Amino acid sequence: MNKYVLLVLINAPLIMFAILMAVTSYKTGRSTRRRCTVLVVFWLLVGIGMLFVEPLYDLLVRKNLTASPPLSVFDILLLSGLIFQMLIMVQLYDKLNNLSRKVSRMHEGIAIMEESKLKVNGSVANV
Amino acid sequence: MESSGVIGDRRRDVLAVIIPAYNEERAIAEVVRSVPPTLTVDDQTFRTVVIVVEDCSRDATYQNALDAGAIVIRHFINSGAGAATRTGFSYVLKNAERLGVAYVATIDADGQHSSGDLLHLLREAVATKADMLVGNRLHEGNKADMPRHRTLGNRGLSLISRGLFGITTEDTQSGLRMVTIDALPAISRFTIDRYGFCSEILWRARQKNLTVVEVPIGVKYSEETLGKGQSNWGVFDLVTDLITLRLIG
Repeated sequence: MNKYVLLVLINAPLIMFAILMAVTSYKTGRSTRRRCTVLVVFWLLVGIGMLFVEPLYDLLVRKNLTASPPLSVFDILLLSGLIFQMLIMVQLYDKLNNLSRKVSRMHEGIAIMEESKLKVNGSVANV
Repeated sequence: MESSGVIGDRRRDVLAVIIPAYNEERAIAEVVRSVPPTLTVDDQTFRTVVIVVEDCSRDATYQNALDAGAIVIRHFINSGAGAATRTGFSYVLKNAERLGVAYVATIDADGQHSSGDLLHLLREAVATKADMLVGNRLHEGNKADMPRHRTLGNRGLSLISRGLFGITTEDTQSGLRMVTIDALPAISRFTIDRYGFCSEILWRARQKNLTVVEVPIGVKYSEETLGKGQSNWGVFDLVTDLITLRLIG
């Protein structure tokens, strides 16, 4: 099998999964429309880049801009690993961001609750 | 949006003044006391309620603000000026009906704003019926009072905010601003915890088509105020926050 086809076959499901995750995140209210758009465009660009790796490589060789050997099985593994890592990184960033907002809101809520408790206990003059 | 008036059987006649404070033990009591108990505009008298959001200071800011008669909300983790302002907004929104809040103002805890300007903003708010008012420190009248590097820095940040968000406000970083209680929910859920929130608030207001009016105000800088201002690294942080907000949202 052509190695470039193999590269696309391995990574296309990953990219589709990433796009689906970005859209789901927006549709379920965990993410903003802007963030969803940025992520979808990003993953589409990665996908398009993947589809055109072979013509791009040919072009670079023709223009004497690269002297690297053609795609090897190791390259495929390396690229797939990189894309998988990017997917994990985006997921982790989202999770961290949501967690940070939750902690922020909890902190805010507790601070306000503490003030109300003080007022009830009579430590602060009622307004 | 009409703000002052009657909600149910309760009158809206309170101006809630939020002061985010961090390590301001020297200035905070004076700033709290400088807010008059009532402000009169035309025939309308507004009572003021001062809410200090103490952002986990290492000094006596909490006690000094409490002694000066403010409502003090205490953060138990230092979270930044933006987070402290957001907590103040949440408090006001939760208690708006009980307190009868018509307008919400924010002022800096370092004493750089005067109560006269608070009245000035309130007067403009009543006259123009604007949703939001921002005190503008970058006018000709303040040229002598504002250090050159501060003027340049603030102008630079306003320029960046304009480029990123299309905000046309001249002084985006001003700590003195006023918003009607009806417009508050539209801007209160901003995401930046640090100083970048000033620009984000204006952006949220723009997204919601709120009317924003700039009012020229004075500024008082002391040695201490200047020493405590934004460091260069802080400005870098601020710009990073704004770019991230613009790109990722």
